[in-house]
Amino acid sequence: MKRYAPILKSILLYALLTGATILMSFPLFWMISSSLKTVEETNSPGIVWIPDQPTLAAYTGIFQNENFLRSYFNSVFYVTLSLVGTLISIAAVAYAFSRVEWPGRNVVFFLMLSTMMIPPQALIVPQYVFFNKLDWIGTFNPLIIPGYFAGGAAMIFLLRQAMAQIPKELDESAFVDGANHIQIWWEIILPLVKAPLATVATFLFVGLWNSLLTPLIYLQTIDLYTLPVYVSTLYNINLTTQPWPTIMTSAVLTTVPLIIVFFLAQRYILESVVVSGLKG
Amino acid sequence: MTRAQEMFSVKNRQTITWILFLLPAVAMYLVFMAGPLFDSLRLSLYQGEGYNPTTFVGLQNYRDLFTNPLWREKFFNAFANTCIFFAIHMLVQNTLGLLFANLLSSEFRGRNFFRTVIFAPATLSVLVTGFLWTLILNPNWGAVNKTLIAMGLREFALPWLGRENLALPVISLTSVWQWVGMPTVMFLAGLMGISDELLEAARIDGASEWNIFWKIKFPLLKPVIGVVSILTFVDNFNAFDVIYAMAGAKGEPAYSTDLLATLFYRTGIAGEHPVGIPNMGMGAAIATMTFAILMTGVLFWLYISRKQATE
Repeated sequence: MKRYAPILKSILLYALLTGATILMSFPLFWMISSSLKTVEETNSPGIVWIPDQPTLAAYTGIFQNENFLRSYFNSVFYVTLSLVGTLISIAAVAYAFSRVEWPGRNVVFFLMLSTMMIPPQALIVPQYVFFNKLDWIGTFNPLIIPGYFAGGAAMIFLLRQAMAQIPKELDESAFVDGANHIQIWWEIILPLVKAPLATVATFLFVGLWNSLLTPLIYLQTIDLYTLPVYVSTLYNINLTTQPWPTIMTSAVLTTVPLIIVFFLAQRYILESVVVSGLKG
Repeated sequence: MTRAQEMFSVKNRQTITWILFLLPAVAMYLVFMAGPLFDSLRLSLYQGEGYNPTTFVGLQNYRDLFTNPLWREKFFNAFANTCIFFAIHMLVQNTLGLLFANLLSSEFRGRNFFRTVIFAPATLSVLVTGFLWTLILNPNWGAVNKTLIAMGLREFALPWLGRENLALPVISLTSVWQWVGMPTVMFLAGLMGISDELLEAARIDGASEWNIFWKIKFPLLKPVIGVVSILTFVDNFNAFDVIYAMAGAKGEPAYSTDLLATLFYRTGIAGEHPVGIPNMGMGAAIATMTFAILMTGVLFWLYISRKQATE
């Protein structure tokens, strides 16, 4: 009996994980399958798992849709600009919180962390009023500029934890050799935190790419709409028959870049969660 | 120069240049967060229509929120719903995360594949998740109900998002589906920090996997459980997108999925039927209360974790 225990155990393991896989990936399968159906098939009383004659009509339709293409371009444009600035400024701030000693550092760090408790909704209206004074409504500025000033306490925390674990002697000897902070930051510290940087970049990319509320509030004209804002307009609550194939096609096309980025970065993500000292 | 003098001049240079690194963040937090936060606190003491209420009313908004039946009912309904929404995440999402992490922590074929599959939904847009589940759970042509009917279980083919006592748990579970990868990854990281020798020794002594989990892994994971819990708390008391995508800003049906964030959005930004004009002062009061709840929770957590650390 004991001889069979390991086999039983791995059967149980695979059974559990297969169940989880079906549960986790069925909706994604359904998204792709629905994007290849006709409207009649998505709204028919019978189950169409995989359409008999998959149609790319929804795809060709959406690729001819000027508003969709423009929103895709807008998303790429704003996410790239925002990502670059946010990443550089977060790395700089994490450096100041981990490699430089200065009075009051822990207090300031704690205050910064406590901003994570502020409900984002609480800031929306005062921020709107502020950006309105700057005449930034209907531009990408409210989405891009704040990132250049280190957006996201959680990301700073992650990077700071990683930087704090690098031995102090490394930058001290570089100082003696006449290097300055900028050089040490760029040439010594940043190359040593590549994995956490990749993780932060991935999380930021996912967050920015998927962001709905702020673009919805600030962009206001269809010419500037980002992808999620445009996709949200496809679902019309007043219609009894939703154009599900088109909605699901746009969902697939929104998701593809995310899956690619996540696939490329996933090994860094686990590695840096370990490094950030979550184990206590 | 001696080495000590060298180090001294280095320290001096340090004090000047670190400011460069910090300046952007300080500016950001003052201008884009601290400013608006205090502005929001100030606004909660005012009344008036539109985005710039001008009549100072002291604590009247808070008094209304707690004593005026109209507001009290809405506020406590949203508060109770938010608590349920959080509790479902805490219990289901984090328990599943712990289970998945425990399964994924041993070496076996296909481990990376399963890890990817479990984490993948966390990269999706909440909007996409919302649409996707709205389609799957549609009472007439959704995949769930069609399958149930095909299996002869017509009486279980319910209007999942249309019933007052069902909608909130169902939406919470779709959100659990999306985010379960987060605690999984964090617990996995924690489990990987436990030394293999310790677990091996316990196995040689004949301890069952069940006992190893509860007697060794679980106690060592306590700090991670703390971090995961507090993140779950903060995230879910701020939740907005998933309700907005699946139940609309009014938390349909009949406000049964209304959360603090959607109540705030309707009151302070969108303006609520029948008036249709935003009540910024009251909105700010609701936001302040949400902030107070979060603050209480986080301080309580800090107190507990301090106490555990000194024990």
